[in-house]
Amino acid sequence: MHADLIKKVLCGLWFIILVAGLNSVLTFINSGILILVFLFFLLADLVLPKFGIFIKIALSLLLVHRNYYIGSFFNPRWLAWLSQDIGKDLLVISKQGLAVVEPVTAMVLTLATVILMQTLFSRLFFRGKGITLFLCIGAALLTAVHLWRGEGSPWYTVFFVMLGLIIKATIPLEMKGSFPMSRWLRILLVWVLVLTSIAGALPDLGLDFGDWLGEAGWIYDPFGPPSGRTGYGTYDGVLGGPLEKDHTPALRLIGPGPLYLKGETRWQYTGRGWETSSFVREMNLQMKPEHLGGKEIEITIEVLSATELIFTPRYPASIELDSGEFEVYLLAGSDSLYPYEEYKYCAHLKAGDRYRVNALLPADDPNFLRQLSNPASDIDVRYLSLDNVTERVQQLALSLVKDETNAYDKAVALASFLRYGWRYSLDTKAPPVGEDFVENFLFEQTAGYCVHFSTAFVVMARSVGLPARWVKGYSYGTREEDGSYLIRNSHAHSWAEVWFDSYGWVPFEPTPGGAHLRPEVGVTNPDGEGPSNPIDKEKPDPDPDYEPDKPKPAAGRLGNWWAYAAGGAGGMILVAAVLFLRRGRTRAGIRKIYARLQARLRIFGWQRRQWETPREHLDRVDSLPDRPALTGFVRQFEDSVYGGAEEPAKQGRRLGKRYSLPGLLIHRISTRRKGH
Amino acid sequence: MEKLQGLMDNLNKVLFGKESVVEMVAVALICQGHVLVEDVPGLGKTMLVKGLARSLGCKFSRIQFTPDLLPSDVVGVQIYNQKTMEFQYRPGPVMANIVLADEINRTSPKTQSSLLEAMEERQLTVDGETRPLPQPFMVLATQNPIEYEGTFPLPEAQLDRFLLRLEIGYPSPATEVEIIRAQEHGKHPLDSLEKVLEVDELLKIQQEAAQVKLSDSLAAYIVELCNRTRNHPSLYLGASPRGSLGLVRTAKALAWLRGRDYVLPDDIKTMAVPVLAHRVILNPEEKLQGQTAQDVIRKIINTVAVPTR
Repeated sequence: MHADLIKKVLCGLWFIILVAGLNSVLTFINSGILILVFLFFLLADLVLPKFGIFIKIALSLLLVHRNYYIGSFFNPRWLAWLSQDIGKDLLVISKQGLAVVEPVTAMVLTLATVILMQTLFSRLFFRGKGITLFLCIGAALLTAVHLWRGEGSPWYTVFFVMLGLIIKATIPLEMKGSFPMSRWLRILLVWVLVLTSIAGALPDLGLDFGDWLGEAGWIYDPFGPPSGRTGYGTYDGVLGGPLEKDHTPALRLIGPGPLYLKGETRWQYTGRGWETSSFVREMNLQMKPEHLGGKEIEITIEVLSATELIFTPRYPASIELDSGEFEVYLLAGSDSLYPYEEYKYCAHLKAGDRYRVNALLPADDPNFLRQLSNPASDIDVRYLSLDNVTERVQQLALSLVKDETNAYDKAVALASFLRYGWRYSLDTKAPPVGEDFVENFLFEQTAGYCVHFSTAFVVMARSVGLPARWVKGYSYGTREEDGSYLIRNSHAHSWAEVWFDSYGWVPFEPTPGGAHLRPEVGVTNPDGEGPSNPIDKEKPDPDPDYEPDKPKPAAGRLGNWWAYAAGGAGGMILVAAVLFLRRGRTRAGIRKIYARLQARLRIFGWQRRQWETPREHLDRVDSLPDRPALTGFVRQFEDSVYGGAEEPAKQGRRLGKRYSLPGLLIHRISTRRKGH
Repeated sequence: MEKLQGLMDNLNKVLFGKESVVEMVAVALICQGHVLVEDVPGLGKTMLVKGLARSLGCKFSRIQFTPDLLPSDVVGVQIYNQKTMEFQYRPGPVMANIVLADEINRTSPKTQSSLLEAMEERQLTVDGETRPLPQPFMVLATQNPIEYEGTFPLPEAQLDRFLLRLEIGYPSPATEVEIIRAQEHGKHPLDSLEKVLEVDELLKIQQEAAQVKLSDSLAAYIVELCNRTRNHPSLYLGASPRGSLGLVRTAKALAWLRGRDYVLPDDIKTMAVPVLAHRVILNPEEKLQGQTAQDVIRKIINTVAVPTR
């Protein structure tokens, strides 16, 4: 038994090396997480061999959902999104190679590969052959990937081959045990296919489970309410859905005043969010815009939570890291006609790292901007793209600006419309499948947060012919006693920029300044035009944790109350049902108890085979817990079934505890043995 | 029960390390059935039978079958007594309680059938006169499975009359040492055996064993087992209803012997091979492949679902 375990551990290690080696080169997902996931998979295989594949797929789906999608796990619409995303991304990959893979596709591909290879691997091994085959394939794969990418460590290949040879040489793999997965695999594949096709067909059928499932989400989703948390995320493919405030500190800004800090920009609107795939290209750094007048400032930023992005004010003239180097990427860059393209500054920053930024704060004088040419001509057409913008939204935007004559006033009109038309709230609903995000926000929802406003603004601005893009970053933090600004995850923000010919990008703030937004320097907002800074620089801000929450709508509160009441009632009914069933259980006939016992043992592969007598079964499966009780029970069972004896009044009680599912599971883990 | 246990202890004293064989013999005794022992010479068949006779305190006889043996050598003859001027019956060796028929396949079918008739009818007909055989009456016949030259294999119909077919098999090395040690001083353990069971008591036991309960589901299980032998692709001929009857009787006896008043599926499984294997005929091609009837019966046992309701 120990030899068997050692074999398994060695083979598992071998497999881990292969996966880690492949992953280190392809860098799909974090290696640590991958190994954890893999270990969990291994555990699933070891403990519940029959349901291993099921558990793995469920876990993978859960991981993908929690990382990239919002809404309830049990609402199939996210599967439809997933299939759309993967399909689209595969097309892109086929044209541009793996470098542009979207994170969600990478994760799905990696997990699928791990599951597939692990299944293949165990199948080969349980048949006691295929080591050489696996060794060759694995080594070839590692080498090929290594050569192809020209990076990664060759040590993985070396270790892989060495361990493989050791396994091959020392272990006569007579591992037996049927691999009972094929049937489950088939059922599961069918299930997944059916589910995805249903999910894929949903928008076409016009069916929408979103609403009622969303309303009752707390019933169906055991992982809490379907909400995300505020913070600077890396994925914008799907927007909307409720958010919770997260007050984890992210950055500290030491500088002359509060500033918006910019992380990334996005340009391609998908109808559900912003295309996240980063068509990145390394660039030489070109920063300082010569022709723009404005204030030069110097700030220092201290990183409080590890990040890969360097957040800077609008126009960084220079960036200086305390240690290490940073990389500059041109986002979505075609050709660098414009020096102020979408740059992304990346570095591996840990908590405690600091960097200094010299930046230019242009004045963005409204009167100057009003005189600039209209329409813009000097800009890449993609910022004018109306892909996925609905007719209704365009009509609305056009009607809003019909009285305005210049680009600046048009943008201000749109921003004002948004700022005063909708309420700011984190408690929003995700749009149903197939419905446009902006249209849903503008015509159906009553409230939204920065993402809703800024996205709507960009889409509307483009509808009226203004080149615009979407900006992600942090808004002002709170001023601390020492004069610095503490920026938390709850300050993560998004706004918009509009292009003005021969001037550059000008930011606009369409989000209502409520909870934590104020008129700010350098960000044009329609309240106080032009540069304004009404913040008292001397006083610290109140802690955001003491911020009174915006009152929730009464219906929501009532809804919650009802939810609690219904939950309580449901719980009581459940307890009553359990009690009732337990009462029934002691009265159940001995044959029923025996059948139930067999059903439980079946999960672990310990059940009586059809042609076995109860005694033969007892003798064969010698690893069961509390054998005296079991033997006694089987004798009683025989007396009653074959001898026609009266059923004893109290039987199976002692057994019930030892042979409960958790009890058996613990026993299975502690014995680590297959019920051959 | 204790008495029968004493009998089995006695038998175990003469036949070392063969508890299962002894148990089978006891079952046959309870069922009043005949046993065919198929094995090579020198494994203690005679000792077993002698021990059985001695423990029962009844008459034992032995017939060594040869090709020239005549039926009258088995069943006895009427001879003319000149003194009384009458024909007088001189009983043959079969007129005993326990008969050991050694190498039964060596004699002519005519002689074989005379014995087998006596086994089935439990009476003898000599020159038109019918005489009952003593109670209890049990035949243990042996056959050598190795040498087939000059033998007359028993026809199927006659094999069917044996309740059980047993194989004794070689003893394990440790047991063989014990056997050597036990007979080292020229004293055979057989000599020390005492009578432990009266004939009346045996008859009572036989009645008791017949009362053992057999549930409906297990009766169906037995029928299913026998039915499978009739449809099995490896078998040319399946077991007759006499086979299923035999299985019921022996399973009941075994249950009784093991101290139960009801039959378990385990009893049936234990008895299936000795009761059924000699009642079926293997297909010639299976035989060529080295399959045996026992193997096929075991396979059948391992495919029929055991009822648990």
